Amino acid sequence: MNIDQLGKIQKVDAPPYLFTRIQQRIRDTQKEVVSPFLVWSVGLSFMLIVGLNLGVAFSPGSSESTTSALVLEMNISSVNDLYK
Amino acid sequence: MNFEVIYEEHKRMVYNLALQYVQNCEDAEEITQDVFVKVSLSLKDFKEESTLATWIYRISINKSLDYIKAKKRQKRFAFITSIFKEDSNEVKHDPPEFNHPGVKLEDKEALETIFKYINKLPDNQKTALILHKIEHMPQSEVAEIMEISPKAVESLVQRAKTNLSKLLKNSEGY
Repeated sequence: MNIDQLGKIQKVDAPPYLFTRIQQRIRDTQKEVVSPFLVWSVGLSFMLIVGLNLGVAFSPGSSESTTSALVLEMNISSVNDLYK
Repeated sequence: MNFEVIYEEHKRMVYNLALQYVQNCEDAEEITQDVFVKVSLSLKDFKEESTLATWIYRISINKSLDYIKAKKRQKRFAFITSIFKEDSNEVKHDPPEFNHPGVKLEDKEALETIFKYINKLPDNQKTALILHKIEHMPQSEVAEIMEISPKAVESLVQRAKTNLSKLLKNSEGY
């Protein structure tokens, strides 16, 4: 067996249907790409939600007294014993 | 440049190069598709630091090597799952069929054996050997594609030939 036999390999043509398949795959790939607008909108919404949560959590209005006032105003029971 | 023109000019080159790596029509078609999808999507990033053909050659080599690695991974995974599924009727081992349309019937047996050992060579030796010995490219062109010096190409081809000769001699000994 001789390595020079590699020189006997002939060139062949690519199948004719390949181009259609490639075009289809390019279209599919482009469909899969998420638009930058969507990425930015989701990112900004997430940051807004986090910001609002942090704002509420650390605002001075979220003190104990405000919570008690809310309990009184809405007639919510502040004890866990249901039978009293 | 129009993508269809690029495809028409380079399809034969890409398909044949993929065939030398995988020796199988179906796999070569898959690689050719991967290459041209990549070319189409990255054409705007092509900086013309090399010729378009050299750039497409590089993509083809990388895609072929990636494809072979992915197939090996798939096989390993299939083997592991077959161990845990003893009663499964799935085919446990399917060696890739040698189906190279550029090989004549009378040379098939010899070239199948040669390719069996080419596939065992390290990636850079395999690439240098394929480009120089099968694609008949001059060493300077291989060097440009592989982004190494022509001397390094010469050394890679020489090592590939030595390794291949050893492997072939061993196989003939048994």
